[in-house]
Amino acid sequence: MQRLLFYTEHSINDLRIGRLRTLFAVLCIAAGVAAVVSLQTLGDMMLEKLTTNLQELNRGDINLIPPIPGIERQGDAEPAKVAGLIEPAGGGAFVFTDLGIRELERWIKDRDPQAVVSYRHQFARSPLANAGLSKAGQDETEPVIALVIQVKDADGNPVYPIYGEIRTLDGKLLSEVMREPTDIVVSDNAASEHDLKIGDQVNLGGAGDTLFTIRGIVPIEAEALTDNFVTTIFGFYYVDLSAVPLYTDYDPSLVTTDADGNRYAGQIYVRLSDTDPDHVRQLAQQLQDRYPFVNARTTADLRDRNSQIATALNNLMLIMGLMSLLIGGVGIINTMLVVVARRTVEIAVLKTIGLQGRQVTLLFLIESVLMGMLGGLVGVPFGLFAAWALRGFAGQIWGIDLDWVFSTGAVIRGFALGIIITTIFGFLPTLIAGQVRPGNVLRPNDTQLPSTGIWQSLLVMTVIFVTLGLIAWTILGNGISPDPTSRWSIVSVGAVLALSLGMGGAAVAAGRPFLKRRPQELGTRGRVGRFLLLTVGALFQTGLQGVLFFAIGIIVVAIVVTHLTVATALGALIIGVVAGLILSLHGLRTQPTLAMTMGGGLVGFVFMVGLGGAIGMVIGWPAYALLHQSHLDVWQTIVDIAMNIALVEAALILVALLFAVLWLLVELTSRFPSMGLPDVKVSLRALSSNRWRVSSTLLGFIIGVLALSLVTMLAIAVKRLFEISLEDTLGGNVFVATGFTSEETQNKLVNVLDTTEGIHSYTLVTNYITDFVELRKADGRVLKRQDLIAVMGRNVGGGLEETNRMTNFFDLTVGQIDGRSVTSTLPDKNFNEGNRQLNANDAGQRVVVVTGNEAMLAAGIESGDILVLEFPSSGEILKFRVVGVSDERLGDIQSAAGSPIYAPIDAFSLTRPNAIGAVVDIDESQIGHLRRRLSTEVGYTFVIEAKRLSELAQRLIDQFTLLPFLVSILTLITGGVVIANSVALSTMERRREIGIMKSLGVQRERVLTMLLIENGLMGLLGGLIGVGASVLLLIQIWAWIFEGDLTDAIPISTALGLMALCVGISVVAAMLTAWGASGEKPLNVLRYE
Amino acid sequence: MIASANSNQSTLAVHAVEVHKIVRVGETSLSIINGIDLDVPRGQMLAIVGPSGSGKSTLMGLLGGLDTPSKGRIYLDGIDISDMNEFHLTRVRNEKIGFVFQFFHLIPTLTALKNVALPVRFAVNPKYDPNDRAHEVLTMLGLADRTHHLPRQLSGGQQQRVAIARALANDPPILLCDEPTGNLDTKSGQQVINALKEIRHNLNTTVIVVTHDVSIAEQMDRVVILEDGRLTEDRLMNQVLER
Repeated sequence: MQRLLFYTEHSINDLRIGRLRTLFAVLCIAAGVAAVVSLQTLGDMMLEKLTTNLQELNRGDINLIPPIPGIERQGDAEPAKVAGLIEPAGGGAFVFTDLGIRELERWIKDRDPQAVVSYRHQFARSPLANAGLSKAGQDETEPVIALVIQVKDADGNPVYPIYGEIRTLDGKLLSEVMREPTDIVVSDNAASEHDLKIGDQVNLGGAGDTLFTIRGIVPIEAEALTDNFVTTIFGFYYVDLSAVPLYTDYDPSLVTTDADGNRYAGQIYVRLSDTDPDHVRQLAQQLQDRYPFVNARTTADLRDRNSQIATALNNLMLIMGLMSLLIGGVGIINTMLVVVARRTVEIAVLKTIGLQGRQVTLLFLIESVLMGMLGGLVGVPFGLFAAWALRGFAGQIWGIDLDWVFSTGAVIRGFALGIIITTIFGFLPTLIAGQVRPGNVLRPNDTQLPSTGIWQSLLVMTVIFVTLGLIAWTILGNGISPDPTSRWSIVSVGAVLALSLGMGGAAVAAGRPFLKRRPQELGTRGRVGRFLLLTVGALFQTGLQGVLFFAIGIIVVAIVVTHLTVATALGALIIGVVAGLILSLHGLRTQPTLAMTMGGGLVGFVFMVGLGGAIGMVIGWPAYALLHQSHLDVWQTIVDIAMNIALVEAALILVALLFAVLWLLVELTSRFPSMGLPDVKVSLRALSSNRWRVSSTLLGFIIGVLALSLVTMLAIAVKRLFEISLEDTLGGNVFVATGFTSEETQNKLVNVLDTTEGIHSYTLVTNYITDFVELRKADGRVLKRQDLIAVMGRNVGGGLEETNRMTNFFDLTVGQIDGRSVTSTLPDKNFNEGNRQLNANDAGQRVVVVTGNEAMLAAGIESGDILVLEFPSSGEILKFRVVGVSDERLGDIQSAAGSPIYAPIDAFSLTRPNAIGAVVDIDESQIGHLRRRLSTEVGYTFVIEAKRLSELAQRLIDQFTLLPFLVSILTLITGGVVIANSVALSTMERRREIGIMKSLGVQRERVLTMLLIENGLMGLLGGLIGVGASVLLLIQIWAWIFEGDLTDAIPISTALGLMALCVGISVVAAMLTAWGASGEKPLNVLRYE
Repeated sequence: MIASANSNQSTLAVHAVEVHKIVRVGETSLSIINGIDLDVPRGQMLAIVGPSGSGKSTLMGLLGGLDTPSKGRIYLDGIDISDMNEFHLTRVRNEKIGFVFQFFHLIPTLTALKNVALPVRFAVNPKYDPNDRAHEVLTMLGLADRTHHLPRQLSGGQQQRVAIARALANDPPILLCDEPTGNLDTKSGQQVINALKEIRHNLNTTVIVVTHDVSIAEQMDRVVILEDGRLTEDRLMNQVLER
């Protein structure tokens, strides 16, 4: 105990005396802890939001959902459709019919007479097709989701929502403000987007000339947390059921009531008199047994689902935060190594007076643990503050008002992880401390650190793998494990042993004295071995350096050549490899030991991986045989832990390779010509003399840069991609949708489009809701839906989840069909041989082009097949011959901009379309004129520009990229702190050098300049590699999508901006720490250093 | 072979037989110590003198168990330390040897008292209470009023006396001093030597001093001269003085 007190006291004193060094080391960990705490707290706030007030979130004790792609149900929709309980609403989705609503209401009331039933209907599946809102007297129509709700029941009691309440921003209930059929309430995002205020009068899509009045504004959160995530993008308005007769312009199947007053519902909400969870669950189960097409979601189901989502989100946050912490760990290694190096004499003294090596190790380990604790103490409040600050920002983007939650779990996890990571990363330097020889006390100027022995290195590696593996296991669980009952699970044991032995073997092999001997000291066999190892090492070096030059080459090409193609990229790769080879050959002459060590390490690695794998299999088989039947849970745990350890090992191998590349790069950079400038020369030499620390610091920094640049550039690239593909897909820059479906409307529309100035071309598009009947293959086989599901199941590998996903995608794809004018612009699609686009000869023919998305390919649809579709609005069944399956790589994005299947516009016989619209290519200046003409001559029309659609898409992208963006910013901050730490350590180590320079007459500014050049170079390297790697990944993505045409692939200005940011961060970090060091009085330094 | 001053091993604090130390520097092997035989009786004050590079520090390291000989045997207080591993050597250093260095090497973050208490605290079988013992030894060396001072708050001479106190904390039979006055002015240096003499007198501790300073060597009982890793001269001071 006394010793422990001594260790602690001594460590505290040392940390106190270390001041700046301690500060930066603590900040490294604090930044990581802050990232973990803030992200976890945000995650917990989401969890809280998603799992409290479940009855409100579920809008009832039970929420009845009709068949919708993506929502599970027990039985098929077909019988219910036949019975008239549901009707198709497009895209494979259904709505409850009036008969269905009454039937379900009756069934519920029979069992619970006090039950309250309410419902809500959303007008159209796509807000772009039929819904919209425009201020009275204005042309511009904005997409908004229309939510038809039952504000009050027959007795005048408020029934929406039946649990909780929705209040306007001025505190009023919906039932208080929505008194007349023309009273509506809009969401705050729609109000701010379209500049709407209470009292404004608006026209609503589908409701002709009727003017509605805005009576209230509600926060977006009122719907965002239910199943209406899409409302956060478009906004919504509430309108009462009583207003439905005012919607005269819609197709009957899309509105909530038809001409006879029959209702339709998208969801039915039930409040029971007995809300005991078991009772609710039982009743929901009975209902589902009776009506298998319904998904009866109870609050317990919702809690389970939301908990799963929140837990997954939380784990994701934890992993992301952990990344920051691991980067911070680099700072700890660097600091502890310097601490140990500067205190070798002190350690030697301690050993002379009787401290054992392990006691010295413990002493330093306690110091690093204390640093971790301090990091935690500083990081936790920062993390909480960051969470508090980000809460509003995240809430705004996600459309929910996150309540502040003080998450004890997040604080404990952040604090504990901070200590664990510091301990792990501090372990190697402290082991080195334990190795310092007591004899050093007699040679105080010799501060070279001893190397750890093979066994110590293996011990450190094992501790790191197991600890990080266990942390990964607690987060990922069995997420990456194979099925424990399958024989594949044995591989997990083999993988751990293979990778562990591989790395151990590499370490042992690389440390063999044989590798460092000269040829003349070796016998014939030795010389042959040496030659082989040199060859392997040189090839390995060539590969690493090739990657390096490739990255640099790509950036240069991207900057210099505007038209970047796969061929250019390939050229850069070849140049990279050749340059790598030249350097390796040069390295063979000047540094054969390096190549020998690398070759030895690689050969050792490969050999031991094979051996480890074999041993793993030998151990794994009996373990599997013994456990997988009788003690499956034990075997499962073994497999899970083994897989997570293997994952950590694989990740660390990757990191080690990256480190090797960086090491080589730093080596190369330090050989750059100094152009006769002594300052540059000194800076370059300084980089070279601290290769280990510079490389490890760069590694941490680069991960931050890579994360930020990848997220930023990918978001920009996807936005740009969306813009390009949207206009290509639409075949124009404006999309017009009418609220009417008659032939007369079509004629009026054609007339306006034919006679409006500035229109270059247009395509008339009709849209029909369809039901898939069957597919007739060219060989005579007839495949019904069930047959195709089986085919898809086989093609996607037979997994149930994947088959369900594919089935939903299939339903969505064949759930509607477009009619397109074959004489105008058609979507820009690629076709493989045997497939083609529609052409003028197809006019009036029942031929169809099918988007070759994942589902269609899995179903095996090909040119020549006959697609049989039913049109529910007329009951007609039509057969279409497939003439082209497009070669798609952007199925999802394209299907969002039109139906994935289309036929000539005049091929639909008597069936009336569900929507009529047009894609128009028009001068931007004429769009307003077109709007006015359509409004007066056609009636209610919805005109949206492709640009506006991309804006909406961009908002969606922003929502999805927010979290990664936040994480990458936090990671980069940690990377910046690690750089500052490295600079602080470097200036501290070089105080003597600085003192000598100053005593020779070098001015402070000049010393500072040298330090800034050195660190600016480091930042530039970090930027080049981090941003360069993002560019490479982007090119890969682009090449995959566009097959060769990489024009505009890289947002060059963003890339350059990010690089400048990197240099800026490192220069600022250097300024912060180098200012004081450069101002030291030379005498002080030389006397006391 | 240079004769030992006393050949009775049981009364010897140090007994070194044919000690060699060979180190490998790059491709070549260097012989630093070449077959030294040295016996030091208990309670003797011995000075090891020699030019730079003669192997003084290496010899001191070997005698103090900071390193092991490549060949030959070394007995400290009757214990053979020649083949000991680091674990046992550490224990020997803690119990049998006290070290005093030219640059004091006090732990800068600990007070004088805590520096002195350190060897007792890490003894496997401590004979004393660490703080009481530290007080006792510091008082003995005239530093009772400096116990709670940090090293940087003490003069050079005081720091060296604290270092001597630390070396004496576990009451070791042998004190090894590497240029103990090398970093002190003449007056402080003499005070340190006086303190060492007093210790020998009161505790019968064997004191081995490595030094360049002839005036210091002259105050020892015996002087050995080391040149190129060999002992070239071994004289008792009374014989020298008589001569």
